[in-house]
Amino acid sequence: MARLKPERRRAIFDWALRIGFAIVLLAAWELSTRAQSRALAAPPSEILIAFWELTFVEGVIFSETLVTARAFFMGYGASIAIGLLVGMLMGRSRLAEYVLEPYVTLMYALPSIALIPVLVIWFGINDQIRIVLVILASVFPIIYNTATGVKNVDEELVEVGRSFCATRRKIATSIVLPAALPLIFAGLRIGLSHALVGVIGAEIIVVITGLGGLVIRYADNFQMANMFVPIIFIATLAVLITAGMNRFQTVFRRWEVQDE
Amino acid sequence: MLSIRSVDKRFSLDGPLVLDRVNMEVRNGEFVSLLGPSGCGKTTLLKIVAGLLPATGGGVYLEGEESTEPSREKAMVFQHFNLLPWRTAINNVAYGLEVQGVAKAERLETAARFLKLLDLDGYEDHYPSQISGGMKQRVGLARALATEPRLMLMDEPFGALDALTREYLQDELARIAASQDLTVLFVTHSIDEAIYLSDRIVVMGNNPGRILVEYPVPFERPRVSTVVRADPRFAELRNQVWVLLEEEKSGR
Repeated sequence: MARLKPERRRAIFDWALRIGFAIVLLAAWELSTRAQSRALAAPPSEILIAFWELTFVEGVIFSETLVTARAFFMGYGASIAIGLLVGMLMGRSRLAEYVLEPYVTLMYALPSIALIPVLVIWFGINDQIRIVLVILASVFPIIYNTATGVKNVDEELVEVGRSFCATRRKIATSIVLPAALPLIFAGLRIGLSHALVGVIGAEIIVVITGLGGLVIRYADNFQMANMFVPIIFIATLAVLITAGMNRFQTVFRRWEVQDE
Repeated sequence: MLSIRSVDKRFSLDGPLVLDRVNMEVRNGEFVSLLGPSGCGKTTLLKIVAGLLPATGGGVYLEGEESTEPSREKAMVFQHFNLLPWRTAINNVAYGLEVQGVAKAERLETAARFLKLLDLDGYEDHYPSQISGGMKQRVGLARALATEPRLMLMDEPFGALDALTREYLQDELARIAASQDLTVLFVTHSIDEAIYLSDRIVVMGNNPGRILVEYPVPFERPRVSTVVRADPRFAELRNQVWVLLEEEKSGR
């Protein structure tokens, strides 16, 4: 190999270390689970085979992914709409904030899965329960952060709008909303992770469908290798949605770039 | 054209008197500076004129009509520029026109024209975070000018800039005020700036904020900074104002 620049050599070393560590980890997992009962653990090699089977031969995993994704997006979408509206209201109206703030703080702090039993009593074991739980899990961080962002908008920027005789609505959309965007996105990100916990939690504990449902069904049947396949899909789905959110955020926040 | 009649201001019912029966006028095409120590209420007075703050007593009249709300006749230039950071320079300048419902192509064309007037052509697509303080305030000026107001209200517009940029922008403003025939009410705490730019200086005092005295500025336009500053009348006027402000300070 010819001489490499030091930073290039450094990058190759970092990559080698990362891959090396992964190999060691997988090897340790493989060796420690080989001798174990298949009801308790599965080696990565068998998980890989199960992955192939479930994904490309039986294909069940895709339809279940769709079920989970659909519930997630419906619930999270509703949360964004409700959260932005209520958050804007709380941020702009002292009275609304005073009245609603205790409930928002309380519900934000409450782990949403604590509400699963009461939801089952009210809604029955019903697919919609997932959407309700996703909303309850994710709407409060969105409300809270939107309200904080809107409340802390620089009053001097609002004066710009007022000095040009902008209507309240125009000030809200052209000044308050964009100025609050950094905190709104923080709320959307926290809401996103809460929503994922909500949808998978509801699937594992109550409705037993979707990717979460697959995890608990395979676990109940002690099919450990199969069980890891939906887990891999859940992780992938979460990573993709989070990456999509980050992408969306950079489009909206181009102006924060400091230099050419 | 602008007439401020007996304006009082308290920020709360039993709060201290911030402005005490302020009376003054600005004629069409005139450049008037409000000069005073910080805390004398000159920015408060300007915001009352802009319609951003309500007066407790008295009124503001434009061409004889009471003007308590913001209106198209008035435009404001802010001390801290107050550009919308998520908008490019041209979109900041177009903001006032956008609020007024001017069609996109037309407002962008107008905005480009005013950016050019302030030597900012080539910076249309820069965000505020990408340009210097002096350039930001030139965008702020262009934004106010673009709506073609009859009265420009400027709140210490050069206060946050370094000395060199400040002098450069003073010249720029003097040039534009002359070429666009602007009527300007200009708040500053710099005596030199007030003298160099104004036709008339209104000096305010503290506690409560009130008008102490008015000075006409004797220099012909167009003015050249070095010539004005070298004139003995400049030093004399400067000294008069300075002594007045010092007396006001030690009087309390």
